[in-house]
Amino acid sequence: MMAVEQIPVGQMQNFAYVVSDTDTGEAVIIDPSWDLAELELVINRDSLKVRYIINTHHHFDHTTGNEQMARSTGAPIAQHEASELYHDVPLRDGDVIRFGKSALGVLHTPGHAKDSICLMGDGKIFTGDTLFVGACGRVDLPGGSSRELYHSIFDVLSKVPDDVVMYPGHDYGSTPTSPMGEQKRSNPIMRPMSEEQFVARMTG
Amino acid sequence: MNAITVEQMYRIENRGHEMGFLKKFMMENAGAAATRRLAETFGDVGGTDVLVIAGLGNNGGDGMVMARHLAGRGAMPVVCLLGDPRNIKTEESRWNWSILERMPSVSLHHGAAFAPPQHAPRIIIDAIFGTGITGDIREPYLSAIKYVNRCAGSFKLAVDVPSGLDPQTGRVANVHTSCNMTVTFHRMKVGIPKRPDLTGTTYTEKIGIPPEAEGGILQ
Repeated sequence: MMAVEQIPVGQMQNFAYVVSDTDTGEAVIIDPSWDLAELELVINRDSLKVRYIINTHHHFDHTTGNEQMARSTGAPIAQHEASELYHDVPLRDGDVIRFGKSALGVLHTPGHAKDSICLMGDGKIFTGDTLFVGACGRVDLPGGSSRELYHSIFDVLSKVPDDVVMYPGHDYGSTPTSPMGEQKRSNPIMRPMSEEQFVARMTG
Repeated sequence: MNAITVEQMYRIENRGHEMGFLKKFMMENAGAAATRRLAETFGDVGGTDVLVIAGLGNNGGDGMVMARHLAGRGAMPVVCLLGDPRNIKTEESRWNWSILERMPSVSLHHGAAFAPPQHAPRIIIDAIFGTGITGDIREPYLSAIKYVNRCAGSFKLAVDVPSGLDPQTGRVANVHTSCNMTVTFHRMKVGIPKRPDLTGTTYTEKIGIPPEAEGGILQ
């Protein structure tokens, strides 16, 4: 079984995650930033062995704690291969990250950033800044692309089963998590539309 | 009194420092005064998210002081230092950074690259450059300035001068910020009023420099 600890960090409504395999105590950290003591508390409380530090993309509000977490846990840093930041493990679409008996699959979902990824396993998906509860990431920053985000949402995320629970990179929604089925119904950005409609919406 | 040159300001600061009114006090007063102006505009900054983008010089140090004062007023500051803290150029800025490192109420980030956040903050403090730039503005400053300009909905306050605008000549570098408010210190600098389109509303705040420090410098 995979256990998720969702931890609000910093002043930008970020979520960091400690995701652990309950059978073995092995774990991964997703997007460590700022309030690292909160993450350390969970790691120490459950005596977790951190196998990887994973970033959903390279933006500083998701990566600023990497170095310190890598020092304290000894775990390697895993990012999509398109990231320009320091990382030990380059990830590609379709890769599987294993910790204990648990695993997270890597989905490359560019659009917010070139190196944006989502991580899926055991009925959970970590969507970083690609998809929020009720919204999606911005595309106007360097490396952003509304066309790429369209394909990430409609070719990848729309196909995720309804009962998979989404864990976003920011606490921007009415709830901190949401089933993907609910997002497909109620998130305006996931309603069926053409690529041109989507691009017009994102730039309008 | 008309506006003064950047060179005159530099000499006045040095004279004040030699008189014992140390630059760290000027920095403290500058950051406090700019925070007061910001708070007057917003009324209450409690709960407001503020991104301070700080360079490695004293302009960045002014921004660090603002972050501390804003935290004291209940705001939620994030300070993004454009570089390695070990490369902060002046003692007074290093001192202010070391205080922020002990403040959980301020989120800190530093790095050689500027990878911007998803979040478009309510307020951005432009504390990147306080003086004119020789040559083109390069990374990570380039990305930081572009990010500031892309945050269309954010209120932008320039510390001393919008980054990329030369306070002496009024000329701009290859990129520059456009701000809603500029707070400059001690006296207006000659180049700043030439570009009201970039500075927004300007304020000139006294920062405690003894008037005697101007002796022989201003005619």
